Amino acid sequence: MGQLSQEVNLIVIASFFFLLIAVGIISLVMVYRRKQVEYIHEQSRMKAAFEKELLEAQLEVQEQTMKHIAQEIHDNIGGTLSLAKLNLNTISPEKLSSSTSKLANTKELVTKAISDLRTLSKTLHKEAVLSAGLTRAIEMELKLIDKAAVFQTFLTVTGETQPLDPQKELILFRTVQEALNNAIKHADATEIHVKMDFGPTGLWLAIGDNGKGFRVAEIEADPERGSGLRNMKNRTKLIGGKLTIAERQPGTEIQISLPIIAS
Amino acid sequence: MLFAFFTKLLQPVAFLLYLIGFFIYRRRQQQSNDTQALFVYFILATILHFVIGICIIVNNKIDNIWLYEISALLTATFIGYYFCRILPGKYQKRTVIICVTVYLLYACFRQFTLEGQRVFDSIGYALLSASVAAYVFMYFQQLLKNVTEVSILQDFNFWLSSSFLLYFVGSFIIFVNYHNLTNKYLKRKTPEDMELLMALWGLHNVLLFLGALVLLTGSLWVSYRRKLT
Repeated sequence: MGQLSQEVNLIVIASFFFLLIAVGIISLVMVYRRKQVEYIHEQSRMKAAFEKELLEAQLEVQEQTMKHIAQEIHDNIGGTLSLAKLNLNTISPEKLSSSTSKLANTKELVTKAISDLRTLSKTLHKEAVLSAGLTRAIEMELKLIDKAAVFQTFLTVTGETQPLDPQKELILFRTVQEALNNAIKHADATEIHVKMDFGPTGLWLAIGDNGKGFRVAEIEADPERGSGLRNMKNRTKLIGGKLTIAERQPGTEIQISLPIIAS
Repeated sequence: MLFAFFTKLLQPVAFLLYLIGFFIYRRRQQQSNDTQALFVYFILATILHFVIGICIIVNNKIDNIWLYEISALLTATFIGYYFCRILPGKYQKRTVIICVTVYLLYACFRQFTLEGQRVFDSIGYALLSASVAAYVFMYFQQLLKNVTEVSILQDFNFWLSSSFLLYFVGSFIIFVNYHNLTNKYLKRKTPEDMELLMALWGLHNVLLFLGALVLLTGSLWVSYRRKLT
């Protein structure tokens, strides 16, 4: 009796142990699977956020382009054509022979207007510019800033230029554009410099100015004022990069590093 | 009274719970061949175990081992068929077919070579338990491999596999030793040994009941979630 009882006791203990193992396996499967599902959800959330940002960036670039076109037409082409019209108004049909120089001048003005229109259509078409690469797009952007003759801009590119993923490129370009806008609007700067360094594993990009600068911690802590910076940081994070703001004497430098740059 | 219930009637009650769980699930589900086969299995198993239970109540000395062997045969065939249907991989299906074939060959061999008194078939049941555990592991493996956004708790097969795993892995040691313990009892035939054996089978019944509860919970949960959506 005693021996059988001992055996049965052992079997009971072993059965409980096996039962525990089964429960453990089932729990593990449940936990692991839940984590996998969470990961999938996180990925789709990231994808949706990326697509949203991409769309926003596209819209913002378009908006910016329209703004540039409007400004260019108003300040440059509009002015040239108005002058041409004024010239034509002063020409009398009876005194055509004495108006030769005025006509030549008007012709020049119209030619200039046409040339400006051509340049405008070429330079302000951001998507077309982006198709030529990020470096070229930034170069164009800086040229536009230069045209206002308020800021001196500098672009330094080191390393071998490599093409980026077009979607990431657009978001990165939009971030650079935002940084440049901030420098123009808030920095009271006279110089803006952009440095691009294409390394073997990533791209390092810096947008700096010689303006009054700001306290990064203060701006970041302020929910109203810091939204632009946060937006730029989020966008950079979304494309797998990192954005840091460095306080300089004088000015500010926004640094972006993007580890994966292959398209 | 409670001891008698645990040792004699809990097993058919557990199978009845399995049947109810299956019935609840099938009521809200498009009825496929896979679940149809298992539903038939649970009907047969419930009837069989109620017969076994009644036999034990009527006459404790009656030989019911052959009924358990029929039950094992049904379990191996129907559960094997079920997993063969739900497992997607070619190798997984092949493994199931091999396991079922090995069991069937063994069962035939045992019938032809059996000598003396028919005692609980530990090897057959151990083989069956190991096979079902292997099927469940294969199912879990493919479940983790092919992740969908649908919660695992809404997958009826997960609940069914879990209930099988709990029962077959939990009872494995009992199955392996029951033949040996019965032989020891047969040598002396003391009422104390008989009681111990029955108690051990009672534990097996509890594990079966636990598995049935898991399936019933699962089918209720799946049906409730489907109703909500």
